[in-house]
Amino acid sequence: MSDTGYGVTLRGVTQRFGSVVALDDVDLQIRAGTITGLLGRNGSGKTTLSVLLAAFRRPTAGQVLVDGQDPWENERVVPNVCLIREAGDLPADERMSAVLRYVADRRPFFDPDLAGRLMDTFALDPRRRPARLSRGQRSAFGIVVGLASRAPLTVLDEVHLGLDAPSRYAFYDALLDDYLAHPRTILLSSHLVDEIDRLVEDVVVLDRGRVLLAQDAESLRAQGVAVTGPSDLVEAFVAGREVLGRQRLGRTAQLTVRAELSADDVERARREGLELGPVGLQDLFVHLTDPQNRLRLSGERGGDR
Amino acid sequence: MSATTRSGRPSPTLLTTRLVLRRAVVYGGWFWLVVVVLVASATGRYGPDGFSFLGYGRQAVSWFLFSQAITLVAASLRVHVGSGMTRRSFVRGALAAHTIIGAAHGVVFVALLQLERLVHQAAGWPFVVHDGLDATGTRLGLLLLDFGGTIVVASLSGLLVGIVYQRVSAWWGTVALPFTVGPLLVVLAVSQAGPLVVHDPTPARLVAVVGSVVGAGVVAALAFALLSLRAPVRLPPV
Repeated sequence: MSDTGYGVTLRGVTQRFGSVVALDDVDLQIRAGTITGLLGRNGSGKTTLSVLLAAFRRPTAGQVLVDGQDPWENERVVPNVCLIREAGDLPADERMSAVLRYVADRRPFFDPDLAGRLMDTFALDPRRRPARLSRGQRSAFGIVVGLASRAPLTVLDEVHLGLDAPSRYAFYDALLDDYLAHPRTILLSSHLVDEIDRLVEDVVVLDRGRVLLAQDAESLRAQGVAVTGPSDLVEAFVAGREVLGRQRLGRTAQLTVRAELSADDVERARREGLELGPVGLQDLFVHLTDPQNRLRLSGERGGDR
Repeated sequence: MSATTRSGRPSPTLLTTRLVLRRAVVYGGWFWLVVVVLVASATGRYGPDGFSFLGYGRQAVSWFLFSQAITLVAASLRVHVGSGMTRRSFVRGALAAHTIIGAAHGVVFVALLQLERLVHQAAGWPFVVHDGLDATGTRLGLLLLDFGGTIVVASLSGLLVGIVYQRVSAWWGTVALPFTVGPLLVVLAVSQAGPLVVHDPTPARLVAVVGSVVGAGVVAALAFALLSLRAPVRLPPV
């Protein structure tokens, strides 16, 4: 195992459910010791990818490697892979205090002190049972278990569901604090891309079961530029570049392009009175997964893996 | 990782066995409490007639454990794998626990049957068990073979039914019931086809009863293990 968690490799992974292809010949590397954002629209294959990593099922075809080994029935690997969906797949009819003891017995790196602190943070009463909690409270309890388990590969799949904004930000802070103190591999799947933007180091975008993009978040952010100004000048400026989105208001246009601008480009924009602005991860994600962009981007998929 | 792992953790198989047994003690406690209350009230009213009311409970305890085993698989496999353990340890833990649970219920059943017999004796009533066990049956080992074997196989058959429902749809799980309940039905059929071993401890009868219990138990356990080891975990909708 790496000192900073488990790395993940998928080679030609396909997962079918009857006639539905949830993952289609996916090749992917997730670096050990990173927080990777797993993004995708509903039905893109995020949860399917997560359950393969946690050995909930075997892929129809291809190879899943966690820390260099197939996780299926692997007694070394599976205790150190923690998949949390909402309240996690935990005993729902036991008191939360008992559930935490149950997890502590099974997760090698579980930290009961951290669990206790997080229970306080989310105002969870350990005497209550997960089955009787509200959806937000169940999510918060899943977060407690997921973070306190400190698994070398932690997969948090839409754990924010039902959480109010203060609780979500408390989660993000706790995640970052504990990750910095105890680096490990965290795969974070969420539709609230704006909110996790500051957390993720790498980004994987799935689209209809295929990897649309996998790269580090910093370089991805640097590739997104919003160009604003008179329509004709903006169109001329972006000519030959990959345009992800267009917005027009009268004679003014804002085009989102995926490109790394040179110093000459920036100087030209300044000279022509065009505004250049950053594009957030969420805007990039929306544009990248826009059905109209799919065909154009699909040609580049091989290079993005 | 900078965190340290805790050493000396019990094995996943042991954890699973303990967890299942702990729950079974609670469920079993309630089950026998209800049985004792019912038998006591029936005995208080109809005791002089000499019938053993507990004797009718043999089917009840068998099907109680059968359904308990189905519930275990339905509720626990996802939790087990989701908690970072293998299907192998689930199979080992479930088989060990349910063999123990079946045997323990057999012991409790035989012990209560003896207690009921003593009550009848003390009151001067006859003691007639509906399937032929007479009042002087004190060979506890043979009694346990007669009743405990069936109860253990019921428990193992329940595991098999549970995993088949997990692997296939509810429809096919129901269609497969004649096969998955088969081990229990075979043992019941052999048991009821002749006298109890305690009355007829001949080699032929012993071989028939022991053979059906061991054979059916092994078939149920093997089928459960083979189906569990490749079982995908189905996720409930969030």
